[in-house]
Amino acid sequence: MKIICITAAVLLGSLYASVPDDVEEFILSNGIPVITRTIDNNDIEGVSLFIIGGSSALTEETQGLERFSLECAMMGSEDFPGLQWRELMDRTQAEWTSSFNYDYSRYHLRCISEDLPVLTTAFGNSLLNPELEEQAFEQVRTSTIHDLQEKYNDPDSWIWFVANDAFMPGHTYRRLPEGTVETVSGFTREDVSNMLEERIRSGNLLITHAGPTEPEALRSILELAFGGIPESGQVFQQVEPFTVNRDTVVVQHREVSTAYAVVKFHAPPQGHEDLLPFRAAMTVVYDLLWQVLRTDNALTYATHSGATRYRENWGYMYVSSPQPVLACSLMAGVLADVIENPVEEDIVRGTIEKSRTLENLSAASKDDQCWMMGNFEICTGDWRNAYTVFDNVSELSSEDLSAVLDRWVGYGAWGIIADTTVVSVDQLQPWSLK
Amino acid sequence: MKALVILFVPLILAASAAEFETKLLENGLTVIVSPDNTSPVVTICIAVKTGATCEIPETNGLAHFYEHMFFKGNEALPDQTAYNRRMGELGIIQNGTTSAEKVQYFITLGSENFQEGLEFMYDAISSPLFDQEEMEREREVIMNEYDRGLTSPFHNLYLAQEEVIYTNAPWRQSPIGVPEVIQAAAPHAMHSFQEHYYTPDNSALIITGDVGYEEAFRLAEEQFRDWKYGGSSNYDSLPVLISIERDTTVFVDSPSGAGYVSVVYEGPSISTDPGDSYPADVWGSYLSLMSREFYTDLVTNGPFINVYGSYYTQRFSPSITFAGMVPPDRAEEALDLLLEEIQQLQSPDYYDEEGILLAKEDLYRHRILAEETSRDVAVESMPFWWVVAGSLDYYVTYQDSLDAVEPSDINEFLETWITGKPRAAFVMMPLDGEVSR
Repeated sequence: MKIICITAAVLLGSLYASVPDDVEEFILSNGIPVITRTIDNNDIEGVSLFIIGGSSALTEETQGLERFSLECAMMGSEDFPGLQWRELMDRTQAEWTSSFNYDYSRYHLRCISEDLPVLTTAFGNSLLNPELEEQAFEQVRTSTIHDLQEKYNDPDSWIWFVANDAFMPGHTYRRLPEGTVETVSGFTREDVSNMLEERIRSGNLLITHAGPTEPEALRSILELAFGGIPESGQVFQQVEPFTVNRDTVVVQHREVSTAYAVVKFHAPPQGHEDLLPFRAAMTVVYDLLWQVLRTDNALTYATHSGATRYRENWGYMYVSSPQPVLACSLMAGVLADVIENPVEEDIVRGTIEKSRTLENLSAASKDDQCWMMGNFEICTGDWRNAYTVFDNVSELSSEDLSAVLDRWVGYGAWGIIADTTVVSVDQLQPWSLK
Repeated sequence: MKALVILFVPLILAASAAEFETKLLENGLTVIVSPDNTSPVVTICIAVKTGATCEIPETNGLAHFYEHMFFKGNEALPDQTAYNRRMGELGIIQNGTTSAEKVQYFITLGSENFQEGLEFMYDAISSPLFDQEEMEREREVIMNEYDRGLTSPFHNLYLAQEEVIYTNAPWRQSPIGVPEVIQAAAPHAMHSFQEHYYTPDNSALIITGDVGYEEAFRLAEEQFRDWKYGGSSNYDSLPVLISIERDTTVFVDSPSGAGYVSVVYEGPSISTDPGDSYPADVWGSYLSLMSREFYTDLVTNGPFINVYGSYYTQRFSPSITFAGMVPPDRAEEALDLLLEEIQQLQSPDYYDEEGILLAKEDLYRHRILAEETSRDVAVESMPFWWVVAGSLDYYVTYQDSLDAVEPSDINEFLETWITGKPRAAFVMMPLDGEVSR
């Protein structure tokens, strides 16, 4: 229980000590919550629209439909039909990035301040009244299928999904937010219309903003753009915990000159007091993997570890190596060793210091700020938690980190992509993590 | 609502380059400082005028190998374990990159540790040990990096491009190098690279972030003034590499099934034809407009999934490239359409005045967006321009030079570099046993 007591004490001691005072919240007339951080160092604005639900909003048959629908909507709308939409994008050089994960979809707009009103207006119009022109619709389908095939063809990307086969069979998160070639091939315009009708509801949405536009001006801009979105929304059921009852491995054969391996294992869910120390511990493990696998043994160019930030989470370790048996064995050994033998305190302090630099670096990026506030609001219930992470872990000791790993790390679910004519499948047994 | 978008009003933005000052130290080191106190971090970057372009077949891969050894031991921190530990103490996040024409190393750390960060970088750049044992281990790491590259769906395409476009010296365009050189690399080869290129007169020290001019220049000078002048770099006298002597079409097998088409022309070198680079950039920006013919013909109404036509600013391998992903079964059709489009875009009628204004606007906006953070300035922007253009004068005057571009300049650029000039075309698609041609 030591870890819980320490965490609680630290939380009380530093509650919101690092929360910036330039963040404000307001709610649009239809109930969409907005969190805005005013950063006026330059004329760049960032706005993220989060559509909450992720895998929970999908079925086996509709995997990827939300993504596909949003991409189709972003090809033009009633007020901004195809050519005008493209002219607007040309004129503003707006950058749109999208991501689709197990808990939410996120569309992020990055633009110059003076373009913010027209771009958000066009964005809102495309969500509510998409053009869904036939040629553009098929263009999105071709492009989406291409993306999916590209991801599959790249073992460095696909290895994570191979590990999912071992870690979460039958789980809600197995429904892929980005879709599959099979599902995307079958979507119709009616499917898209229905999906947008169902999902673009104020109760499913959250907006975050970072940039120089002041809250009052922003409120007017966003009200004009998104205030017409219908009220109501869906209630999403809790995601079920993962059930891994034994060490397991899924091997996919490919003619690759280096093998790729990922192991996933239990981690605390969002809201659990162990999550922050667990994440800190996995960052320490990252540094140790680098030391043992790369510096000491020259087994790899790339290795890392961490823990996810979803509602249900997992820890993970990754390596690519021409010697996967030895590399995986050492990787498992590093984790087991940290659990058994707390590392030197200065390694923990060093890891935390580097994380602090990263956090400070992200303060200047509007994209990062929008993501942090939105992700923590959705997954922890309070955006402020994005800014208290390091206050809350900075006093943790090496023993604390070993203890939290000991509590959560159990069976390992391994995914491996390797040339099995070079590496025998028999050798690719799951390596125990404890 | 429509009025918001239909009217095109040219907006000349106040899109100046990031504010900075430079100082040349007595040993030849250029120090560039750009303060930004948005967050309490400082980024320190050392850009070096070297890269694969400085190599010969027997040393192909050593510039990149050197980059790896930068992060190993030096006289102050004797091995990587000590190096890593010091990074933790200072909260340093770091990386390095090696490209054909540039190598750079950069760290970011809390501004309270700025002075220690300068010392950390000085030790790494001025006194690397190149320990034999460390090199033995690192060559295996680099071989794994090499092997990862082999799994790229584009690997065959890269090889084909090196062979066809850079016929005279393909190794100068291949930073990762070849296994034989990586396996044989020895400390004396590293020392040779150090002697020729890792000298203050061949490098720039770039400091951005939460630091003032006076403090940054003073500490930089105190820390780096003992770095010895070299004077032996041949970088500025290396010959241009890109060479396309006749029309060539190469079909490249795509084991992954991906489809890709590209057409490449020689472009103006920024060192010999800098004046041509401005209309080239405006022209490339014009082709990126989704509302104009290039995109409409090839993507909206054509087989391309995405497409671009642009000029890549380089000293030794400047290129003009038209390329995009395509469904593999439409790759040959896509090439025909692309070649037809290239014919059409050589006509002045292809371009409208409003589009050219828009293209310039886009370049201004792009610049603002590309320099959002102080780290962007230190890592992405300034090193590139200092190394490739030879100084930051080009960077400073870039916007004015774009303003001065007239439609006639674009026509002249096209006549000089595309009309009647040989091109190399590449079609990547599954060949099912057919021999590439």
